[in-house]
Amino acid sequence: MSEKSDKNGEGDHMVLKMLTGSQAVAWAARLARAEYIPAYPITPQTEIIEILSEWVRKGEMEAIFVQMESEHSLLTAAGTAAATGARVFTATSSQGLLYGFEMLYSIAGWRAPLVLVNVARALAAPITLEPDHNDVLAARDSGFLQFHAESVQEALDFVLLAYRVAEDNRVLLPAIVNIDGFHLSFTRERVDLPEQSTVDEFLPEYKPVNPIRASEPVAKGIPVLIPPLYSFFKYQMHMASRNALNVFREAAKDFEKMFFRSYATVEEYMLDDADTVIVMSNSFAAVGKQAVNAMREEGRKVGLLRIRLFRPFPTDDIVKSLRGKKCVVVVDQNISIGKGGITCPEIAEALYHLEDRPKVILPVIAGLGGKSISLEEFRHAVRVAERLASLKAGPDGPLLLFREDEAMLVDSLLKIASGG
Amino acid sequence: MSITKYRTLKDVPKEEFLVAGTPLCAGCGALLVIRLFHKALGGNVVWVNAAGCVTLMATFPYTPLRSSWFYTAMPSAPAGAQGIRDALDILIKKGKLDPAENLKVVVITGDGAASDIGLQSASGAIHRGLDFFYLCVDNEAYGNTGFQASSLSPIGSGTATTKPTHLYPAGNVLPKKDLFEIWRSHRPPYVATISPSHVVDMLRKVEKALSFKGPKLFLALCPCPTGWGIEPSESVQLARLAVETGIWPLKEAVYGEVTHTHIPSKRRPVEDYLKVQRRFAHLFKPIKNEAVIAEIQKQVDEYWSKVER
Amino acid sequence: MRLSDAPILERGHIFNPSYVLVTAPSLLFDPTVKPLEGMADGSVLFVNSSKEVQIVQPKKVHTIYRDITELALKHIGRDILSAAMGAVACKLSGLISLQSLVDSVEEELAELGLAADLIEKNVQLAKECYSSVESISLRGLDYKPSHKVVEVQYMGERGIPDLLSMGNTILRKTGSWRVFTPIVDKNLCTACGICYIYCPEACISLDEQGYPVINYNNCKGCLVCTVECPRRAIKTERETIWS
Repeated sequence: MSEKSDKNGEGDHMVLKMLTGSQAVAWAARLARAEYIPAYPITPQTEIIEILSEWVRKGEMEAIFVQMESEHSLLTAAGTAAATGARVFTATSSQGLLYGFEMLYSIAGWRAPLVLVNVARALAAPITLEPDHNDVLAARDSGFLQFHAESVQEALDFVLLAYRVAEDNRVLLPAIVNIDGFHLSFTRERVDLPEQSTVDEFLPEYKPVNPIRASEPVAKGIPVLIPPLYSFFKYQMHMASRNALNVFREAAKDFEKMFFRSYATVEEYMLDDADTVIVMSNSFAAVGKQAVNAMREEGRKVGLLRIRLFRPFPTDDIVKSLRGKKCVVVVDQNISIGKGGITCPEIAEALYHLEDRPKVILPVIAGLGGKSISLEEFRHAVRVAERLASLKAGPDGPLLLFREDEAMLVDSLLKIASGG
Repeated sequence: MSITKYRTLKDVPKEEFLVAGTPLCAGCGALLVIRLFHKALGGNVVWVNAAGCVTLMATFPYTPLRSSWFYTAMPSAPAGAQGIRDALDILIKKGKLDPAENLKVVVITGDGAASDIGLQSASGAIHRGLDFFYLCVDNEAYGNTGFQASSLSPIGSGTATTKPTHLYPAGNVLPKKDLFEIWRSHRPPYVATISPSHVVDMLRKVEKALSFKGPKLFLALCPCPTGWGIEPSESVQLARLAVETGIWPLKEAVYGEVTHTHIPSKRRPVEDYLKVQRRFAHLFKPIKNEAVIAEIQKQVDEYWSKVER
Repeated sequence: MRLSDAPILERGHIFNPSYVLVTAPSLLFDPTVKPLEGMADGSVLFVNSSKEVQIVQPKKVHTIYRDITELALKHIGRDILSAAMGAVACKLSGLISLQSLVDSVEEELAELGLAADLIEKNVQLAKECYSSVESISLRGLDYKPSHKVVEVQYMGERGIPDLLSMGNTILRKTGSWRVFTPIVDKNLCTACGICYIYCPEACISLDEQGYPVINYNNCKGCLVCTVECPRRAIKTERETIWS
């Protein structure tokens, strides 16, 4: 299903299509003229590589598609190819991301820009298929930039933006674009599919630094056994990642001019007069917005802040959005066992030194392994936060959201499992 | 072999691609193999390395090589080679890269990376028909971490994790994996064993391999003075003894067809090779372990009994 | 090893060493080692060398030269220096008795599985090293802190750990590893080139007539050349160039 639209009357055609998240990111790789795609199947990522392999086999993409024997090898090949000068696209998910984990740090340390789509899926054990963000957030310290998409459109756009930022010579770091499994990967949404010529204009050719060439030998990835030198290179990566904040903002400006969609590092939803702000990322933020709408109808001043760029962490923008608010409810769809959510401490640290910092920052765990989050759960979390604020008290560990109907379901399934 | 430019040691190419000053041990057999192997390969090479002793050849800010080098990770150097090969191919195909900038991609790993943690990656690359060289410098243990047993450690050898004790008088009780056969089972264009002692044989094999597109795999026995317990000066001698005792057969397989390139006319007893190495000392002192030595001899004899002359 | 009656709060890098023991003189010049850094006036430097080495000493330090390698060769027949250097450290500091030293050499080498005769040789080596130096007590070492904290600048492409200077290990003078030096006897050499072929280090080149020329800056003294030479035309001498 597709239609042509002529948005601004200047002949700038965009094709409107109903695409799944998998299709959208495959299209983004194609539009970005990715020329190397090492791949390995894993649910729910596999559709992406199926599409790309077909396009390459039909000659519709001028690229090499190679099916590797593991994600570890996939990431190794992706990294060395990017260091050699090819524009690389790849995708994985969950266990696959973890299987290749050491290479995330290596690729980032090689300063080899490429784009990896992670189709979020919760981690074993117990093994499961539906999403949460423990997989992608496990990679948060690696040096990869991280873009978290809420919609299929964002999934496509973030791949393009990710190339632009990653390959910028002020950054030179690889990027992960996270799309939630099932909710984005297998769900069709309306997508403005950009014109190739506009993408070409937005995304200049990748100019690798010190690529491997016969005429200019180079040694890459070699041990740095001298501690100050090691520290130096790690600091350089950090500063390059911090540079990516402004590089992203520049790129987003160009992107808006060319594609009429505007992206800040964070999205503010009904935030202006909000007393309580729910912080989320990725596709379930939509459910959070729905809850905000419902609570607004009840007269509660609730808003939502969605983090698009998780690495580099957009501290300044988060501060702008959250300073002066009464309560912040950080809904983490992940769990650091024995501590709580991963995002919440990062938000708290960003706000700590402000005079007008929120009175309560409530850590909430929800939606693990694809568990739904109902309106009542959001409402409960907001109520808990507001009560703490009125009591001038702090939270007693993270709030684990779970419903009665779910508890009953669990109970019935445990009975079956135990034969009782 | 038919036409070759390597007839005698006088034909060894003079150009050096490896300079002195590496931090590798004195008398390192692997270093000698790399140096000679590179001479036969010629220039325009990128080495793709997995963790092992030779990783220390290039440590920031030094490298002994005049060629490119890419340290990847212990399990996945062949995958790293895949990425480089494919990137060069697509860039050349798209006209973004002058074909004169092309490189020969050579994986260099130790035996642990080749036979244990990196076997999957190697199998994948060979299966895909990747156009690359693989040089495994086999010192028969994890040398870089202090000489622990790998699956290419020979039976009867003492290593840091297979120390001979009264319960395990033989030291290592597991047999050496036959990596040559594992590689050969993929039917790549070229597989060979080489030895730093038999230089003309090595050069001819590299020369031959250069004529094939696809995986070209080399397994080199590399005496390790520190791990084997030999004098650095004896390094090449030990490699020669391994060939002369028949422990290290020199052979090649072209698309799976095996030819022995050197058949020792009269094989020396394996004892001559074993008794000069500290890693086998427990087989001789305090009492001679005749059974293990005989077993090693038997395996060698059985191997050669099947080789057609 | 960390040992004291009071808790030791130093870990890792020792900023202000009282005693510095250098196993090979070349390390004094290695930009990645810098063993003299942080030494105060009155501290002690021990160098394993038969003669004095020209070094720029930032401070007035007691410098002692002894050829410990020679002693190791005498007792063990190999340049294994751990017991020897340990013994020197024990004596210099004046903190550890000869008996404690002997006990620990025996204990540690037995743990490593060394044969009894080899342990005994190491003990003899340790004893001779112990008696070869005098204890030097330290009084009132004046350490001047010289560390300033600076801001790290973003270096762009230079901040990427790629190496562009190829073949530069030649700068590392591994010649100092040598215990014995190979020397070509021109009268016996037939210019067959075999030593050149088998040198693992590419330290032998051939001159116009095909005779070998050894790069002593980098030759580690593995002596493969002496064994491989069919005419036994390469002799060995105890290393003197570096020590």
